[in-house]
Amino acid sequence: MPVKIESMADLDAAAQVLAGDKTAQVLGGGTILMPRVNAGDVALRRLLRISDPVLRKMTVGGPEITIGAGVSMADILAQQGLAFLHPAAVCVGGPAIRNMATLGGNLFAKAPYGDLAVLLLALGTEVSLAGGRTGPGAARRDPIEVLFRQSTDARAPLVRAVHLARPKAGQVQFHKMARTNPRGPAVVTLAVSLEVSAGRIAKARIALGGIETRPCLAVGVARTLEGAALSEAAITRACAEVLRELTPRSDALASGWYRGEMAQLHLRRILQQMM
Amino acid sequence: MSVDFRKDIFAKERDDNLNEIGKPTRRQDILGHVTGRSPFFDDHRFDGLLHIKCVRSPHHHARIRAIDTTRAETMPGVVRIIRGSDVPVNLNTLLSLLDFGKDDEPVLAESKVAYMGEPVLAIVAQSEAQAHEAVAAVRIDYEVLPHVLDVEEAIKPGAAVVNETYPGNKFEFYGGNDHQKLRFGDVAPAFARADHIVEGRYQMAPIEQAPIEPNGAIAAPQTNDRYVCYTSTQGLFFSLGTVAKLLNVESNRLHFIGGTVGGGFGGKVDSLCEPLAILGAMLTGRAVRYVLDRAEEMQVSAPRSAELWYVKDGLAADGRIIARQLTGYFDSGAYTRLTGYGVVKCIGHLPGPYTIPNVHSDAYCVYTNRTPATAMRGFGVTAVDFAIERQMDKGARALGMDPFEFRLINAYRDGDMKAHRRLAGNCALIESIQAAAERVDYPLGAEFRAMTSMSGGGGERALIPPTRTERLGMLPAGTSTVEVKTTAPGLVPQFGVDLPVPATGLPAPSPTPTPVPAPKAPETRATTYDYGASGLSAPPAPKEVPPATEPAALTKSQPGPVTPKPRYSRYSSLGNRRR
Ligand SMILES: Cc1cc2nc3c(=O)[nH]c(=O)nc-3n(C[C@H](O)[C@H](O)[C@H](O)COP(=O)(O)OP(=O)(O)OC[C@H]3O[C@@H](n4cnc5c(N)ncnc54)[C@H](O)[C@@H]3O)c2cc1C
Repeated sequence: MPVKIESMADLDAAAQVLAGDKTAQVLGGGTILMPRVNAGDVALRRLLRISDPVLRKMTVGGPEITIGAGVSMADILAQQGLAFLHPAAVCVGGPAIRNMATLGGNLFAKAPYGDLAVLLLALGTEVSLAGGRTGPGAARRDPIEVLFRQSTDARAPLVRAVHLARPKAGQVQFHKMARTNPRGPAVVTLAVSLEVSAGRIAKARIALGGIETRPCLAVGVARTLEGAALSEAAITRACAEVLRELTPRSDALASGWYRGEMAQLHLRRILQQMM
Repeated sequence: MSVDFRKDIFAKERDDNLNEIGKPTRRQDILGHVTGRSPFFDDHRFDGLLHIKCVRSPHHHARIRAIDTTRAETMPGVVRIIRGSDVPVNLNTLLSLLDFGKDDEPVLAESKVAYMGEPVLAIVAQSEAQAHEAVAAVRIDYEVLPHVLDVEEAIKPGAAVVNETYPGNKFEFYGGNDHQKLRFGDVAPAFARADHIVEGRYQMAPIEQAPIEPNGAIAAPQTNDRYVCYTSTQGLFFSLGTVAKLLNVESNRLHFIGGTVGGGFGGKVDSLCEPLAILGAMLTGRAVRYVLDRAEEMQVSAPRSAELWYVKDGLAADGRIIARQLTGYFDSGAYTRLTGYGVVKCIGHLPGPYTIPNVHSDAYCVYTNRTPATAMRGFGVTAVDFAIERQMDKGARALGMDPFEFRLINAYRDGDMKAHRRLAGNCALIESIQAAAERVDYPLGAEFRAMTSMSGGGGERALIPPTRTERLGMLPAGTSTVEVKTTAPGLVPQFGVDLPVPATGLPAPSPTPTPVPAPKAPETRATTYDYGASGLSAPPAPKEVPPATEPAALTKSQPGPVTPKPRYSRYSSLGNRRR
């Protein structure tokens, strides 16, 4: 059976099609989907290409930022106002990939991909979904974590945009550790956001990629940091917590053991940089 | 970047008046590549071309209980479903063409699968998409078996039998030996008197060749009862011979056309696609194309084998390595392909480019339920080099010595006897290290800058020491030939394991060679030969040796100058071509 690619002008109409047809999938930049099509993956029957401008919209000027799910890595990199996302966007594949790869697709990429998603997770991003919630009622937002709780094989909701507060200078750090540099697939990706007040860490969010199939939060590690001042002792405590909380997966890129070591090493480096 | 020809080094050994060697030259195929005109196998199109996609095992190890193709057969575009039973000779080993190894691998699995991705059926359809659809519609009932993915686990008693041809999960080398040995001198006393013992365990992953063009072939019937095959193979005649055997046809009915290989690096010698493309053409009477997709190329086309090495060094405080013991396990995956050969190559490479008077090495080719491994750029050599060089760094640390200088102390000098009993010549390691150090402004001590590979070798260092072997006990100094004679029926009547002796012009061996004791009748015939003293190029012989009419004899090398004969290793030309 051939693969059908349909263009749709309206996001919410597309959401309805998706809800009614289990074989349909949204096509973002296609950097993950098209290789599957070319390899003859028979699970792909119907792809929806959505041209709704809302997917390409960015609101960057103010303290609250909105980025449409159809925005590409290259678009993000062209926006000076999104400089805090550049460390992640620039390490997604090479230039040809970044021209096509969308933020929405990155949210659904399985490990070792999903670098930008890891940074967005650390930043406490929210997502708004498409489907019957147009107009003023469309305001409902969910924490980005909801996307990562389900497996990628489950029916994914159609994401309209992500929303996040502009981080303070120095609040967030991102590291990607790959075996082939500059831009191989990640062994681990780490993003740390620390909100400091009066010399103490008020809030910590530590997101990791590569450890599980989807980006995950190290809540226990964050808890060891909260309330403390960022010191060598606090860093050591935080690193020691990593493997208590997470069981890194093994794959062809790295063993779980190696991933665990690298996660601790890069967490230490990030925290030392933030000291 | 310009190439720096260091013509000051070895100036005497080089002829600068050759037309090509030593001169920059243009690749013959570069014009075609940069103008996009190089023809690849996939540039050939035929009317009504059919496409093959394989149904592959989703399990590491499983018995095939039943195959149900009823739905797939009736799907649109499906022309033929090829099963293992359709392959005339469905068992082969690649180097059987060179009489190396036993047939152990089917083209299509019939009774069981031994690695994830092993092909079970080939579906021939009018389009690739239709072939994919039919692949998804096949139902195979598998009984999943315990699997083993680790070489050390695989050779433990009770491990899952990966490959029924080799029930112990170890390849059988010449004479039924389950590993390759290298013995030179006697490591045990040397370890006992060493100032430092340094041990290491090193593990290397398989490496995929990752060619841009995947493995593939297009075959078509010709009017003269022949089949033409356009292929990406690296070994055109090798592939032709393999197909002739598998399909049981005269090789003159096969017309192989190679050409530009879109990246091979060893990954295109296995003839993965040609047999099925040609069989498909035979069964359908039409042109058939079988090309691996990228995921298949990564998962099921064979990589270089993983290796595991244990290395133990005995070091003298002055920096000399006085003994080295190496035990290695090559992970062949589920079938042999070229890994057994890689082990033979490896043994000839040990103990690395260093003169070490006592060397003891065992190397195994082990079967696991992983993707079969094959040739890949210096396979058999590069991975153990990694182990050896890490071990050298470790040794330097143990001695508190500079790692460059530690290597310079131990590097081969011209005229040194290597552990596998060849005299070292043109040993440029010292000069290479010096040139590298100079390039990066690495400070070498004056005495190390003054070293040269062209002096300091030979003499005592050219001697073969008395060597301990398991089967023959202590071999006297200078032993370079182990000869066994037998005329028992069905056996190779006579063979010798020749080992080279110092050549004219090179330092002669010890002027008074240790007298060789009169040959004693061995206790059992199984001890009449031992490849332990050579490790290389021993011809095949059966495991159990029945009584021979003549006793085995140990002969020493002929004293005095002997013109060196270039030894032709049966497999070396293949190895060279592949690279
Ligand atoms: C050579 C190469 C290198 C790569 N390197 C990296 C890398 O370094 N880091 C990295 O993170 N990724 C990498 N990737 C993966 C991929 O390019 C990125 O993750 C990219 O962001 C995916 O976006 P896309 O728009 O191309 O996704 P698509 O292929 O279009 O879609 C991927 C999945 O997301 C779903 N989807 C897309 N948009 C939405 C939406 N709005 N709502 C709901 N579901 C949606 C699709 O249905 C599909 O299931 C690489 C890929 C390639 C081919």
